[in-house]
This record gives sequence, C-alpha cells and structure tokens, in this order.
Amino acid sequence: MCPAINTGYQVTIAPGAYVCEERLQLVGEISIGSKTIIHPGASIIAEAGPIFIGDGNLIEEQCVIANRFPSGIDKDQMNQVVMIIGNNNVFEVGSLCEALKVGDNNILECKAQVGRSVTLTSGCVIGSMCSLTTNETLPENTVIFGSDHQRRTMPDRPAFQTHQLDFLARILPTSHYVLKHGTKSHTPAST
Amino acid sequence: MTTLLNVQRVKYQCSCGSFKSLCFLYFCRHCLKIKCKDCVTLEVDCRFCPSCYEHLQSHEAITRKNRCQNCFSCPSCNHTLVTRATNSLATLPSNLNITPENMNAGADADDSVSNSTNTSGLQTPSKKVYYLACSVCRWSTRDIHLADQPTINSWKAQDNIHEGRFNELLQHYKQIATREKQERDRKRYSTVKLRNTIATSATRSSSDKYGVLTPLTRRGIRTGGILKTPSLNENLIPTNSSPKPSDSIATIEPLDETLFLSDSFDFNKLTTITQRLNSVESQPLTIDHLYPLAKNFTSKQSKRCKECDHNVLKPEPSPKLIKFKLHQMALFFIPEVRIWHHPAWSFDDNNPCIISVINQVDEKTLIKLYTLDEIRQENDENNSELIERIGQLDENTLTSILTFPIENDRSVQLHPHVEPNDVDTKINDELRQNDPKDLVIHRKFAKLAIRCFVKIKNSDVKRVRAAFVIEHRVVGISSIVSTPTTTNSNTNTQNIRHIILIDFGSIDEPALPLHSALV
Repeated sequence: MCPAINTGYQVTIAPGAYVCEERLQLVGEISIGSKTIIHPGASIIAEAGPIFIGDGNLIEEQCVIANRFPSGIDKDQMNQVVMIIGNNNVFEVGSLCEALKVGDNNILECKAQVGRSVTLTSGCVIGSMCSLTTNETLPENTVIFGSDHQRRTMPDRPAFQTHQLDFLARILPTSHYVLKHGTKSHTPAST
Repeated sequence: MTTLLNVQRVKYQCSCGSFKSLCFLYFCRHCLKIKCKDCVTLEVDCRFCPSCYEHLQSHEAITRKNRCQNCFSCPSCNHTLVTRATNSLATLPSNLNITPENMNAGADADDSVSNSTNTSGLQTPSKKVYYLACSVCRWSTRDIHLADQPTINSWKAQDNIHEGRFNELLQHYKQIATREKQERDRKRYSTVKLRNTIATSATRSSSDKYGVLTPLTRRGIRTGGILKTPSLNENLIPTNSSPKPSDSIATIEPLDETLFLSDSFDFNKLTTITQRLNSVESQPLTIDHLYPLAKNFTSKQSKRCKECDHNVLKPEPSPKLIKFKLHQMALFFIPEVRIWHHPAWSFDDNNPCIISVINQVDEKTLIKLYTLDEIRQENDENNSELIERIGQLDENTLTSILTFPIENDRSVQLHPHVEPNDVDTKINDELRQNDPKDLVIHRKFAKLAIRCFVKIKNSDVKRVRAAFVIEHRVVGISSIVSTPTTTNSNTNTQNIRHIILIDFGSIDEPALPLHSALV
C-alpha cells in the first residue's frame, strides 16, 4: 500500500444519503450523492484525485473504493484524475473498486476486485472473488462469474435495489451514527 | 506449523506400493494393511439428489436416468438453480412469456409478500409465479423466454429428441443379448458335463452385458440362477427388426471464413464446450437454446477391500445422515507424522529436522522407528516384502537419507488420543521421564516431537525427500470370531510397519520457524 500523501479529507454529502461514521475511512475530496448508503467500515480513498459517487449506491462493509496513484508514476508530476461512480451501483462486502469510470446499475459481488483501467458501463456484474485488472470497457450487462472468470451477457440489467435501500435508510440511523449532509472537512493535526 | 494443511508432504505407502497422504487412505482391519482408493472396490449404497436429498432405490433411479425430477442445475454454469417467486398480474396472462418490463416492481427476488399496490388501478388480485434463477451467473429461465410457472415444482426436464432412436437401438441389442444367451445355453446342454468353473466365469462376463452397475461380488451369486433356466432354443424370436442404420453425412457445409473477421458476430451468444456437453442430448449451439438441466443424482458408496472382501467404509444408507456404519480411515489407526521444523538445507552435513508424531488411537501406543538401512540389514523372513519395497524406491524418489540420533531401540510410548485430565498429566510426566532425551525433544500428551537428521545424497538434488519406517501395534478384527480354539486373544493384534516418505520441499526453501514449544 502506498502511503497516503494527504490523510485529510473533504466530503460533500447530499441530502438523503446515509453515511455511517463508524470505522469509516475517508481520504481526499469526496462527493456522495443522495440516497446513497454507506455501511460502517467502508473506505473511500481519493488520493490521486476526487471521487464522485452518484445517487442510490449501496456500499457495504469493508468495501474499498480507491482512486490511487498508478504504480511507477511520479506522484508530484501526475495530474489529478477524477473517479466517477454512477447511480444505483451495489458494492457488496469486501469488494475493491479502483475503476475510474463506473456507470449505472453495476454490481460488484463479495470480494470482487476491479482494476484502475477497467471501465464498467452499466448493468455489469462482477462475481464474487473475481478480479478484473485488464484494460477494457466492459459491454453492458456483462456477467463475470466463477473461478475461471467466465463471461456471459444478460438480456436485461440486474434488478434495482430499491427495497433494500429503503429498508437500510430506515434501519441504519437507529443503530449507527450517520454523518449529516453538507460539506465536512478534516485536516490532520500532525502535518 | 506451515505444514498444517500441506497434507501432500508426508506420504504413507499403501499396500499396493503407491504413496498417498494419510487422509486419503483406508485401513483394512482384517488384512491389517493400508488400502488406497485403487485397492478398494466401490459399491453404490444409495442414490440421492444432492440438492433436495430425495432418496431412491437403484432401479427407480435408473428408470429416472439418475436425475432428479424437482431440482435443476444451471445450463450455463452447472450450479443449482433456485426457485424464485414473484408477483404477476393475473389479468395479463399473455404477457407472462416476456416479463422484464412489467416485473420491475416485484423483481426483488425474495420478496414473497403479496404486492397489491401495483395493481391499484385494476383491483385484480395479484398472482404468484415462479421462475428458476442461478445465483452464480445470474442466468434465469426468463433469459430463454420460458414462461413463468404457477406452481413451484411444475418444471419439466427437456425431452430427449433422440429418445425414439435410443429405444429402438436398446430393443435391438436386448434381442441380440437374448439370442446370445440362448445359444450359449444350448451349447452347454449339448455337452453333457457342466464344466462349472468355466461356465460361471463365462456367464459372469457375458450375462452382465447390461448389468455393469451391479457390484462384482454379487455377480457371482446371480449367475447361479442361469444354470437352472431351461433351454428355450426353439422359441427363438427372429430378430427381423434390425434398426434403421444411422445416416452418414456426406457433405459438411464449409465454414464461412469471414465469420470470425466480421464484427457483427457475437461470440457471447455461443455456448461453450462444457455447456454443450452438459446437455448432451440437444447440444445447443447458441445460448438461447440452453435449458435447465435436471440435477444429476449423486451416491453414497461403501468401499470394500479387494483382498479380503470386507468393508473398510460403509456409510449410513440415508443421504441425510453423515455418520458411518463402518469407518476405517487410516487416520484413525495409524500415527500421523508431520514436519515440524527443517533448517535451511546444506549439502555437507546432517540437517537436523524435527518431525512430530501424533497418536490417533485412544489407547497407549508403542511406536518404533527404523531407518531404511536398518530394515535392509534385518534380513528377517517376515519383512522380506518390506525390504523388497524399500528396494523399489529409486534415487529419484529418495534424494536424501534420514537418520535418528540414537543407534538402536528407538521405541517411544505415545499417550492415548483423548481429552487429557489430571491422571493423564501424571502419565504424561512419567512417559516424559522414560523418553530417550536425544530422540524425543518435546512431548505433549498424544503428540511427540522427534529429532532426526537428513543427509542430502548429492548436490544435484532439487527436492529433499527422505523415508523411514514406523512400526506400531494395531488391534485387528480376527476373521474367525466364534471358534473356541482361539484361546489367546493376541492373535488379532499385530505389529505393522509402514514406509513413510517425507517431502521436505525444495532445496532452496528457507528454514521453517521453530515452534515456540521447542525453543
């Protein structure tokens, strides 16, 4: 893991988003859209540039959404790269997303990994424990599954998680501290 | 303890000569020999569906072609399909076929609550429908536009399009079999003497043309009945109905070479070889012809020693019980040997290694350790077979020599493999007093750490492999139980010896860290 240059953060949370404060790790400039739900223990690391997360996303425990510096590149010389995550994506427990462009309605199943040079269009499903570090744009509704990373195309996109989102929006604030909407920034005292 | 799960490192020699890890071996208590999977015969005890545990008798299972009627596996990835319930509008039965659009309200899969809000305008009761979906690759019966079903178990396996042809051929070959049998009977009765031994062996091979699934041991019993059958030589059914010969294809359409070059062709629409072979009757070419596969039955098998025909493994005949009626794994009878420590290898001197021996039996066991050379020198009548086996181990298998610190009488007591209590602690201490200190460097109840030296034979060695012989006592089952003449009960306990081959790994492997108990 490369050490973070700036461990401070500046996060903008839209109204209607629920971001659990517990064990949340935020680095850099982050914007979170409305109706997005972030479970406790997620990490959003915007080292190499800001991260924009759209509406209605579900980010579960131990997920890492990272905009990291590519290896072997001088960090001071690099321009900022923006990472954009669309709407209604699901990041299941333990998934790692480094893809700079994530469209809408994608699902990263448990422990799935998506590398930096992959572009997820929409309706894609990365199966559990599948890791995708190629340099490609996944066609719409692609499913990657199994230990052999087999692929198939679904006729339609996966179902919306509206029920789950509504349920979580109701239940999460009852047992967790949730960050208020608005902009919040934090700079570490040590530097 | 990095070897905790590396079971392939320590191998025991089976009675057939092959080396296998202890956990893959059986132990026959009648022959007192280790048996591997090649030294046992399999017998299918029960056939059941791995998904719903439906248990069928063998003939019933065969008529169903060993497939479950209620459970299906995914044609795309072979995972079990799950039934999902969703609500659909009863007023729109014509739209049931293609439902991705009108389904989005109830598409949340496990939502089984009757959803009447989406019918607010029409006031019609919503109806529950079911479809099959795969949780791994997200394939569902809607992908191939199969209509949703009104009840859970109304899915049917795909009809075999070649069924008629199969039946025709089967009929034909059955007739041939009958005719052959009759001819054979006639021949036998013409020669007056029934040459029993030859006859039974002949019938065994040929009468079993369609009984390949019956276990070998039962075949002999069944052949007895054939002798009694009267000769039906005059009632020969003339086999006039020979089946239609299969058509040969004279010309094959040549492959369009531009097919792979044009961008219009979507390879995602093609099925893979595995998918095609999974539904072998239809062998679909494109993914829209995939159809749910009826789940294959699996079986519980009992295993029988080939030498003495006694069972070494017999499961309970119900799929829901995980117990065994008879469970003679080698792991329960033979001390388990593991690598505890080895140093960074050096070619010049003896490398001090530590192996652990764990007693698996719930009584005190005395084990003796021998090097291969000692066994070779013994030259006893009893172990000529063992010596021969050691002789068969060549240079490629044994790349180093294993020796022990003390010269002779390396016998060690092992504590029973039980939950230790206070008395056991005392015994443990006593045993520790008697241990040869150079050999045994650590003792904790049923577990021992034994020091040994590994000398690598030459500098070309890539992997360090060494072997030694362990001797221990086992309590076998005497084959003659009820005879009163067997006065001494010790006849069925015997000392047995095993060759153990340890693969210490590659020559340039770093030293294993010393366990904290040994420091």
